[in-house]
Amino acid sequence: MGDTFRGSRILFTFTLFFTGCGPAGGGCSSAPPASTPVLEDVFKPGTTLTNLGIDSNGEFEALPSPSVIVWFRAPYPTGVEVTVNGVILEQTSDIARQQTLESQGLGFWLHRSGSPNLNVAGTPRWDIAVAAPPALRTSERFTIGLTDTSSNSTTPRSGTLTVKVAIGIPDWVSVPFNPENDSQVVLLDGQRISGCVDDELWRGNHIIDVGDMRASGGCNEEIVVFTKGNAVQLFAKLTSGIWTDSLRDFALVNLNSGLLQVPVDVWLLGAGLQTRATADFANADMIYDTSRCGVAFNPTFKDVSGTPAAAALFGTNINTMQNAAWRAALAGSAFFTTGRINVYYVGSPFSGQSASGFNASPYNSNIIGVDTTAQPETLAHELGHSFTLLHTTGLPGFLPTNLMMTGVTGRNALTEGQCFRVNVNKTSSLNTNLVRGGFIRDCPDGTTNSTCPPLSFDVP
Amino acid sequence: MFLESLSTIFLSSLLVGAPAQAGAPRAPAENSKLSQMHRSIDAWIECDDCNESQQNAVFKAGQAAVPVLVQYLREGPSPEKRELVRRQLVSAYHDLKEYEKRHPQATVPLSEEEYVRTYLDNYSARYQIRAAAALAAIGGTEARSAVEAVLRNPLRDDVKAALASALQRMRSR
Repeated sequence: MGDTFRGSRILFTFTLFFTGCGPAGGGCSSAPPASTPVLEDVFKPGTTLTNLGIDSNGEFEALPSPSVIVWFRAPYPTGVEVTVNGVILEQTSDIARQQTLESQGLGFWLHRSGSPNLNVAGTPRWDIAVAAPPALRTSERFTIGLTDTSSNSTTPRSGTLTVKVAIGIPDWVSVPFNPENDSQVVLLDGQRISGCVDDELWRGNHIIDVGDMRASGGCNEEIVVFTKGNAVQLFAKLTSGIWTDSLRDFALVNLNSGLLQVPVDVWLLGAGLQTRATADFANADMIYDTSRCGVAFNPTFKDVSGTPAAAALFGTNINTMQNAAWRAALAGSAFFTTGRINVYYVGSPFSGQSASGFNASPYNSNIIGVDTTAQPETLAHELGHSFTLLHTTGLPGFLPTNLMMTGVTGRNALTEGQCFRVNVNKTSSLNTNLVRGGFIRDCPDGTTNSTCPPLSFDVP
Repeated sequence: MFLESLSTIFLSSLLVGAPAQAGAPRAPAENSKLSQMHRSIDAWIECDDCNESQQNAVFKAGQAAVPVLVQYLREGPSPEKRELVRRQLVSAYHDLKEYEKRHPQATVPLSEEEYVRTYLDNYSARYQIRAAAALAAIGGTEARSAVEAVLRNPLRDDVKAALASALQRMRSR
């Protein structure tokens, strides 16, 4: 019964609207008194309607778009006047006419449905699309005016509902000086109108349109930029936020700094080891740079092969190297430089617990050993330990080519999740040796949360 | 590179079954045990910085592991594995030389031939040295004879020293 009534009523009002008469019957002169339309909501066009957010200035924020959709409530107006910045728009649903108006630099408006929606409580809801003049559709603000112009002997026009719209450039991350021009990887945490977002991935060069970001509220707010040829750039919310509720915010990411240069003292404990060590460092440079970890190594070679005391102090037995006394003796000797990574190239294979490479983390991440059976990536692998990374063997989401795998050959890559930890973990030798500044945190390999991206987060 | 690493896994899986095919047919459970042991040996030999459990898994395999270890001691990695690693090294060398053009600080002061030979020799040395270490830990006549025999061959100094040390440990047991 109710359905029948509603259906017939919709048909009735549809007819009335296009004949320009109110529902009370009796022709136009009996239209209800004009009353100021009441705004219900503003949307962006699309296959599904998406609410536009409203900022602290009372502006509905939209990305560049041919039109916005306005829902307002009003009785059954026999005439509606729509203005943009005070200029009256023509009502037309004829596409050819719309094109003509656009070619003349004019806007227009139309009813998206001919009838109001009666399935809402209270005053009927009307649904119109407003196409502002083309010049205002990008990078501009404008005001829509809505007035009921129904003729009535007592109230010829209603008051005007004003809807402020900001159609313009959204928020963006600006990365102006990317020498590699390599479509940098941007990870974004923050708040959108839909709520908190975590590890949104964006790619691009120079200016990356990230849509409409909002003031952080309770969300973690952070931008991380990974690129080849430059240090990882991290912006986190400190005392003030990166984004506001308005459009046109931008975060400037300066890539002028180049790669972080990691000083390393390389102690050559046997004869003829420098050539291989040099090649190993070249390989480490390539792996960490092309994986977008943002570091390069600056080795200083110290040939102590003619000083038996050096080789004797370091030794070859991995089991001995597990001892605190051994670490203390080495760190207190003339063959160790405090505050930087020390790599020892040994002229023989390690004994004891099997290894071709060794790092004393977590006790002393500045001690690395490499023996005569090492592969090209062994040094890079041990440097990964010095930067807090653990083995990835058996972990889901990792390719066999991951540098921190064990038991495979041909490793040549790290994930962005690993590079993030290399840079921010407080016990990474990058931070303990003060190679980098900026914020630090504690992201163990196994921890994933709003401030620690997954270890396996990888961008091809 | 990814494909090559997948090849590593594939080749490893081929190798796993090899000893079982040589003699009389084995029961599935026995095959599975051998496969597991073979995987353990390979994982341990190939690792950069092994943990104790990886090493113990091999040492505890005892005499069952000796034939594979002796093979690795005598011959190093299989021809298939050597070829796989050789191709990886060639590919890595080319990548490095390309990288070096734009990053002159990352110099590889070796020719392609020298680069491949250096690391391929290291790879073989690792197989021989770790096989000898495991044989020394396991002990037995076959293990000892194998180390003695290989020591009579021309060897790299570091390999020779490691094998001699292993033999000394076996003799002092």
